[in-house]
Amino acid sequence: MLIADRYKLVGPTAGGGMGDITQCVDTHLDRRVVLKSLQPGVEHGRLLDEQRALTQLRSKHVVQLFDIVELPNNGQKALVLEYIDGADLAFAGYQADRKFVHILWQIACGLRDVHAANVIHRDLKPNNIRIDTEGVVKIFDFGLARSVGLDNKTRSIIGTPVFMAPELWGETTISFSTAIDVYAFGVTAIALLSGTMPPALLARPPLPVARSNVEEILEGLPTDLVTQLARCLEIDPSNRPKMADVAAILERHLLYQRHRAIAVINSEAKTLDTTSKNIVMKVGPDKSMTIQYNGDDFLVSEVQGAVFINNSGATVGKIIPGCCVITFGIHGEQRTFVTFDIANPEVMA
Amino acid sequence: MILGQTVSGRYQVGEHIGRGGMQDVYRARDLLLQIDVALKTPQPGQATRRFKQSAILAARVNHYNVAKTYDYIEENGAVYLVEEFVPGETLEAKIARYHILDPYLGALVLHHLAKGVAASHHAGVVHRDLKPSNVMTEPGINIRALKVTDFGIATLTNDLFEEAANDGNLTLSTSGTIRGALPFMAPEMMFRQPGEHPGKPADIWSIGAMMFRLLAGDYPFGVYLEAAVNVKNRERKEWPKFMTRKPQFNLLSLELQEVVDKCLSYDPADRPTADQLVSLCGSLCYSTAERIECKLQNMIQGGYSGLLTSKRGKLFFSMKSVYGLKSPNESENTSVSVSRYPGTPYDRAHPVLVIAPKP
Repeated sequence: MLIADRYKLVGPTAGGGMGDITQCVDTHLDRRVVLKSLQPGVEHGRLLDEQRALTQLRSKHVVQLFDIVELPNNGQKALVLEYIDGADLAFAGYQADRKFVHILWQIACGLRDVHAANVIHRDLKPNNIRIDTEGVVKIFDFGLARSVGLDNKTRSIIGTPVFMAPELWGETTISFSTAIDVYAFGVTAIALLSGTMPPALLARPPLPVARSNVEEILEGLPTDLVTQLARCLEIDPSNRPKMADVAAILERHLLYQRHRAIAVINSEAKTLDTTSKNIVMKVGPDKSMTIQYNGDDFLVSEVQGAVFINNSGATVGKIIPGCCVITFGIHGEQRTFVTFDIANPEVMA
Repeated sequence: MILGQTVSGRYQVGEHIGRGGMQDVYRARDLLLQIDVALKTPQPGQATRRFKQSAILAARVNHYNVAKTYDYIEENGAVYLVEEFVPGETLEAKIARYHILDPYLGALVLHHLAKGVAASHHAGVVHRDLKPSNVMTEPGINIRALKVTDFGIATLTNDLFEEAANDGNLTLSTSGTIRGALPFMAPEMMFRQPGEHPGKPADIWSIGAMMFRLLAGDYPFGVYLEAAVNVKNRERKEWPKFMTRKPQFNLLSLELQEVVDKCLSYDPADRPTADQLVSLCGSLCYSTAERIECKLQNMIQGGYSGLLTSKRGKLFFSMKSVYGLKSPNESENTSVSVSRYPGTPYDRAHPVLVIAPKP
């Protein structure tokens, strides 16, 4: 059977919870695509608007929509989406290492992008995230979760238990925000590392989770990252961070110990990095400054006399901006200038 | 094609935006998804039979740094390829304003190109015509991401090159596409013999030649037939001195030169693979800070430094931050591209590149 004169059914047809998923071949381009029929209970207008918004966004981490068709058997609408060759993220399939942080960073970047377009995923979980053969994280099933009618008692239920934010467990239809994705992101981080969920997260509705529980599962990650991920699990949505902030802190950790600064003194370049962390600069008998690399930033660790960074007085603890001129001496006297430029490898998906 | 015409009941044809050697490109509106797309159709006289095969091949590549293939349509005897529309301009247009790229921008371009080409090579697709005019990037003076286009006609390009080689000497071809490709064409492609099929390493050479052009401001072997002669004689131009003269830029410039030198190995077996190139780029340290366009206000401190005006106030710069062949001065070269860093009383500009004034 050909759908819309071009899509040929192949492979097993899986009846997913959120939409019937069908593997097809697009006969025009001889490539695999995925057909998802829209389920009753999903507001079609809203969903199609969101899908178009995502298409315009062209995020690296969002699955591409190619077409919208009507199914011949029941006249239902279906999305034709790009098929991602790769594997879904595995529950408890990761360790708290750099690879894990890189995956979390990519998910966070994807959610940051879609939240900027005012789209809420509604059903983020490891089996809605796939890594393609190039190592790029792709998030799918945006907005496919139905908003109402899962059962009579919990009219407002959206998404998948455990990944559902506490505010979604109410008795009445409620309003919700991008913070439900932030919560699901936090649970996803836990689920990727551990086969055992903290009991507080399994409660319905979920309860505040003890910091020690989170720490235990995220052991090996830096403290500030653990704090940020724990904040994603806050009961009050307004206490959860924005995805952009989560992405930024993850990127910071991916760059830990990978910066390089070049200081040019009297036309001679000196390199600072993780193997050479300090530079001591002395000018005359009364002026000096030491800059130290702590893995994240380059900081003034010692300063004596009149020393300025981009014309502002240098003080101990000050973080050097990306590029600057360090001036030894004051206007009117013989001054020495040092340029200091910081760069790092570009973190890419 | 007619403006306003609708293809496949879905794509409304807009303005003509480009003409390759083999195809016409239109901007079109996808009425179903409400996005702009690039609609490509073979030029009259071009064989359409291979167009579909080319589209199928390109559709296998799925990467952010490659323009996506969306659709292929045959309608009323005409064929169309629908590709992701990348709003912005080509690297060729970018270089018309920049003349050269500083090592930070250069490293970014190389890294993103390597990523895109690696993904296509994984899918078994060789581009064969990589050049600045086939790489799209954002409008304005920033380059923060780029996408390689025209994988969709890779098969056609291959046919064209093969035909020319079978007819005798490819480098003497009068085809506009071949002449345009020569400055970036690998030796094994230029001097191929019937039955030879240059593959992935040819793309790596093209990346190298393109990067040389962007970093040095010149074609590594010249243009047209001159390129073929110089490649044959293995007479490549030297890296210009300005790249390494200033200590702030020296280190990254040297690192980039080393990578590009490897890509321009005459023996294809000596070139890095796209994966190796990605890995080499992964260790390059470069700034991705936003670029802004400024005007020189006046030079100060006896020409040792100067002040720039921007939309958000004045900036200070030192001549040590000026990169390239041209330096700003009060009578000419007053348009510059810089990144901004906090300072008192003025923010600091670094690096400083003289660019052509807005056309």
